[in-house]
Amino acid sequence: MADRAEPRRASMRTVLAIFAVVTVLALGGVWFSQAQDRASSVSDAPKTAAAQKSPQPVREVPQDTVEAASPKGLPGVRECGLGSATVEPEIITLNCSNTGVVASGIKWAHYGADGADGRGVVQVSGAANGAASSTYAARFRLYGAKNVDGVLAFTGIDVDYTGATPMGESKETYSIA
Amino acid sequence: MGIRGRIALALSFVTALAVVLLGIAVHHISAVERARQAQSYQDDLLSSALQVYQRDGLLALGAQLDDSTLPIPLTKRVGKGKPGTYISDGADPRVWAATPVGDGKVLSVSAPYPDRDPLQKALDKALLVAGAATVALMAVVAWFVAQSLSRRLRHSAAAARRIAAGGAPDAEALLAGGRDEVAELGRSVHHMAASLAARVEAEREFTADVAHELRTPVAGLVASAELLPHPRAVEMVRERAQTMRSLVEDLLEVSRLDSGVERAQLDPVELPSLVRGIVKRARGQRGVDDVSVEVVGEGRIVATDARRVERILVNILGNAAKHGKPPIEIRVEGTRIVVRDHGGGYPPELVDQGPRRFRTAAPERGTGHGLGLTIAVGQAVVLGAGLEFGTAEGGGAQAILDLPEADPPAADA
Repeated sequence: MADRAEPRRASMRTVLAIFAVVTVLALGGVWFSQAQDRASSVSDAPKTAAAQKSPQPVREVPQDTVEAASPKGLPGVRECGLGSATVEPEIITLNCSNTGVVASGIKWAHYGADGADGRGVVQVSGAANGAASSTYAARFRLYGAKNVDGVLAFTGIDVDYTGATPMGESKETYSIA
Repeated sequence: MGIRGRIALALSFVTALAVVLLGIAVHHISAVERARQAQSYQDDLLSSALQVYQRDGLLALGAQLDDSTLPIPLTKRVGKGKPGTYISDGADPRVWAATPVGDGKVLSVSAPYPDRDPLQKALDKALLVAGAATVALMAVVAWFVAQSLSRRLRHSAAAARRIAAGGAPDAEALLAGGRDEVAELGRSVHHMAASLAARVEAEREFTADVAHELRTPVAGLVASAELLPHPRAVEMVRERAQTMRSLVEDLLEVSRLDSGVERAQLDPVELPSLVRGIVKRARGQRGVDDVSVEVVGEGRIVATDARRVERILVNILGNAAKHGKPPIEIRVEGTRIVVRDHGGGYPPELVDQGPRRFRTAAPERGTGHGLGLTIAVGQAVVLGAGLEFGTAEGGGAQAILDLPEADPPAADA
């Protein structure tokens, strides 16, 4: 009996080992193919979908009723010097020549007539590699509030990068009026 | 291939397999993560561009309106009113993000997505180098581990061989420390050898005791037979008593040989003369009559114990006379003595395994106790000589006794 029991156990171990290897290979193949399918298919764009559902609230300051619309007399930001001014904007176009540099996701810690300070990210378009990050964390400071075309607005913004920088400069200044 | 090579090869193969599978998995995960990040970055840009477009009607961050090169799968997705991202193939692979902005218009951003990313290439290279180094290191480690294992197994095997050759169980070699399977094997072999040695010793002692106890009464029996009145009865009792005494003497000799206490008294002897003398004395005993001696070449001088050589040859001649057929031929070739008869030859089991006590030959070779050739083998061991049993050319039993040569005389002698 003992002479036959040992080969049977060995055979069972072999079968189990082969089964385990085949199972692992099969699961790996399924995972591999599913991952390939995911990479070549259309994926969701959750941030864009969120922005699409909740358009940015625009708090405009009418040119003829600056004092009335802004009881505190807070200056706003005119997008590339055009149109009305927005108070505490969440997004500001920094490079208006090609609109390729944008400050977005801005959370203002202080917003007053003398200036404003906040944090967010700078997004840069035109990267040579789409897999490389094009977003850079930065601190923002609005300054130079004055009446431009009848609208009280900030005229400049300092950008102080807190980490990686898009052009190698840790500080940049843009004219936004 | 030895166990060292097999273990090293197996471990290296398994390591290489694991490294390859791990490398493929890491490469694949990296590629998938790269695609996910690229799509997430474009989603970021598009969400900001969408906010600017919705607020000011400007196209920021390189966004385009109704891009005609927008991939078809993404166009279909956006056509359903849902934003999405997509990586296109082709000559100019790009990562895309697009969203509907009303009035059937589509806002989209895109960036190049090269097939061979520098980071991916660096990762692949690092994986290749690390994998090769791991396999090489594993092979070296496996070799040393296997060598240690193999060395211990070889020590156990050598100890087992020494036991098989008649040595005492080597406790130091077999009872090495450790709790692994090799140590267990060594302990088992030692216990087996010790047990077998104890049994053999008990049997040897029993044989010696029996022979010793029988010796005295047999001698008395022989002496008493002389006193019997009838001549025929005297002859019969004397013959059987002599046979019994011979058997007892043989048993005692076997017992001494088994105990390993026998030592040879080596002296230089001229071998042809020794053989002729032995044959001369053996004629007429045990039915040995028709015996011829031939010396091939020049007679050699050997260092041996003449009494033990005589014991060996007489036993072989007695076996040939009893179980074989005449003529019996003895040929002296250098240090070798070849004895052959013209009977049916030794049985195969005797040729393969050697003589065994109380295992008599095949029926065609008659009956016996199997002690004569057993004693011959034991005496040959004491002499350090070789004794082989086989079949002669043309049939018949053939025994070859190969004696060691005498040491050459010292230079100053």
